[in-house]
Amino acid sequence: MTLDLIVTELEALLGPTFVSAEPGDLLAYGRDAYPLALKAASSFAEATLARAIVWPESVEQVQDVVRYAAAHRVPIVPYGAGSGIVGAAVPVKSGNSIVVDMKRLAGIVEVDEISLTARVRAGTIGRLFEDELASFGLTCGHFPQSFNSSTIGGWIAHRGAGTFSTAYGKVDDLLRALEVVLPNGEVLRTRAVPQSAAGPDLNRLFLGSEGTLGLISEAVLDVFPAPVARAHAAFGFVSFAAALDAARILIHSGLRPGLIRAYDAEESAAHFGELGLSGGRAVLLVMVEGSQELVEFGLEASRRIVGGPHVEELGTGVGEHWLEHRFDTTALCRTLSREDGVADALEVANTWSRLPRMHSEMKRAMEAAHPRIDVYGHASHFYPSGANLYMIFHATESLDVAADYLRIVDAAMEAALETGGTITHHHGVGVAKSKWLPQEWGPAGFGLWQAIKRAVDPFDIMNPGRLGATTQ
Amino acid sequence: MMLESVRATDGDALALALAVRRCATCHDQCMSATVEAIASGNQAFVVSRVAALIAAVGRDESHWSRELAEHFFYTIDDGAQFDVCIYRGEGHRISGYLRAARREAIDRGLAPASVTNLADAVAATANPLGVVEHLKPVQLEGDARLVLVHDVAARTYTPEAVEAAKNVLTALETEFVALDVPSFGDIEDELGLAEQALRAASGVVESLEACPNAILVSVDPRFAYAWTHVYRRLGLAAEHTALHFSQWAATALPEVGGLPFKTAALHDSPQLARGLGESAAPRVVLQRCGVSLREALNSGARTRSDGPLPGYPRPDIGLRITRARLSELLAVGADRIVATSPFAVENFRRAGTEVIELTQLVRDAILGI
Repeated sequence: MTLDLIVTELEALLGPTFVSAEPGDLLAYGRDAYPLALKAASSFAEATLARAIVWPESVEQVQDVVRYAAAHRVPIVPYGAGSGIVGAAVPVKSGNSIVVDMKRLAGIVEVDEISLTARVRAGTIGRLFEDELASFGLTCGHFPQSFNSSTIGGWIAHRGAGTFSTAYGKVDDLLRALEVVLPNGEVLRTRAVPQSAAGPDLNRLFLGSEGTLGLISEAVLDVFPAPVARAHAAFGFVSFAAALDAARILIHSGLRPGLIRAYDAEESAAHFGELGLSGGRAVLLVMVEGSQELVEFGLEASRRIVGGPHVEELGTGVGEHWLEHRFDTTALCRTLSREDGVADALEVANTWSRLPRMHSEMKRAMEAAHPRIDVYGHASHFYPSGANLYMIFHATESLDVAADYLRIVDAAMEAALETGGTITHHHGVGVAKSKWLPQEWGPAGFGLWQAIKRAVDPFDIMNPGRLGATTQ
Repeated sequence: MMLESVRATDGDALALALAVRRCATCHDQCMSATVEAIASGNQAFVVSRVAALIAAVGRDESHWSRELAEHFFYTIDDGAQFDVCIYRGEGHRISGYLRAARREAIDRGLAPASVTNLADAVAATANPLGVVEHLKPVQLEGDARLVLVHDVAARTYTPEAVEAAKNVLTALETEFVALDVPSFGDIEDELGLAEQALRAASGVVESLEACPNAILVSVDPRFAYAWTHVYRRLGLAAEHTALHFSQWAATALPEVGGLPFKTAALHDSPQLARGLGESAAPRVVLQRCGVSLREALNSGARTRSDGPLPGYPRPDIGLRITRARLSELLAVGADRIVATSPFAVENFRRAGTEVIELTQLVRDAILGI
């Protein structure tokens, strides 16, 4: 099929205003926040460009586009707000795909104030969702760093986590029901119920599916009464392992503060050095929100549990600094804007017993992979059995940033897997981590996934090249 | 590199080139505060993507085209982007590099029809609306203390507000002189029509040279914004104090009443509330007029655009922006919606909703209408 014919036929489905093959639009959609795509996005020669961009406004229009793509075997790349950091929304080849931007499917459909759930369209930006919920006195409880530039559909497709996930849960926990346009154009609508034992959970099939099994068009999520109070405290520890241990004891006590963050000494110095903290300390930040009574109790209990003879209470400066900079990604962006610089935040997870070794092994491997690299890390999402780790790197003076980036990530992922952890806690797989998925799942697991993918999407039109699926 | 064409009036060329680079490699955090991106659902409308495009055509000259150049004119720089910009506070500026990119597109003959039409209108009528006017020359006296300044926008879209301002000044026994100029020049400036902007702005400044001690007042907040930010950047000696009508009224107006309604939703002009940092004055004025304010989402210093100014290439997107802002104002269920600028009144009117201009409200309160 010619490009002109595809555009003409898509225009017949959606109207000419909502289909584009213009170079400016194609370049704009040639990236998400995957570091290598971000660095290539200022060049027509380096970016991978779609055939066309479409902006459907209804689930029926999404069905039309999917049926068209299936009939003509044209790949579809779903697009939320392009904040994904693993390259799941970037066309894998230039000129062979339709990018389906979901942002015109926006806004809350209904709020059940009795059950505390919200039915919301998938293209809704996180902050705008929260603004709408505020008029009901509610909060979504999900505040990723990409809160201003990510969509509900993207959260679900990548199994996202917000910074307050220790209390509210990951999006995995918040999701009650889904509406998904399947690769054959049918619409799947699951029931909004608190729990069910009606066979395997179909919602979970699409959590983390990254657009490979269908286009998420709507979701029902748990929401919460907006907190009326918030308080925080920070503590200094002699080592990152000691800070992690305190977080473990806190979680095992049954308390669920909204936010816990444990920083290694290097990241503590980078973020909080200006606050005059004594050097070489790992920092643990605890933040409690909710009713006034809950906050007072939670903070006091946290102090009792975390405190000890070798623990230094650091006051409120750390928490205030974090609140002020919670959506700030300048550090990564500054390095990425350098021609010789590359940076990323790799989020992995492991059990408590393996977490300290995972941190040290990943740090060692990443530092060995590049001569001019700073590596530091923190844990920020906590569970009874373990926590995530954010391993952040900034490499400069690179002669070949792409090769250097891939070598650093290779080293990090191999160390993560070797220590028994997962390659991703909440960013997803995309193109950045797909090569390690067979190792994460093992042959049987990966074979099962491929069988599911073939059954659901026999023509491999849904975001091909992601999650280890075949690339057209 | 395109930004080599940046002129001194846009700021330091190197700083702007760095700003483009920073925006182009940003995580699009301004997405949630970019009205044109929200209204269109189009990622290409996000400032960082526009910046990437500016950087790209700078590197790959052969890709210049009319369709691509149109992207440079998508951005509505209402200031809301800075609410969430990760580089705020570092002198990071959107307008400077956008103006430079727009000017480059114009110089290459690739500007959108909406911009070339506007340029033609300026050439024919000396104003960006293309309204044929026969302005009478005004000889300002050196002892003039208050000059009421308006351009074509207020005279065309809210002539009642201009008259109301005169009524109010007269009722409060304040001497004034009216100065009607063709154009403030700010619209031309923002679109990259540099020569036209300078010509219009110079005309305004020259008209006022005779009365160096006068306070300048306008019902259009674009004037005080242009006087404070644009004219100085253009190198013009703009020394007078320039105020929006509400800023003058907040200090001069006694408590009045008698309006046939009690509550209002206020749409803050971005030029006034963000550009000049003034959101208190209109509220004081409403209070003095006995009107109870119902604050809408995105009010005061967090206000959002009510729609684009003339020359915007996508009127369909502009209308959606206006409707989105209207829905926020209507949601509070007030008796009236009050606007503080001619363009807001006109944008809302085009979206099918009549609103009351603040100056008219004040006049009605004073006269008991």
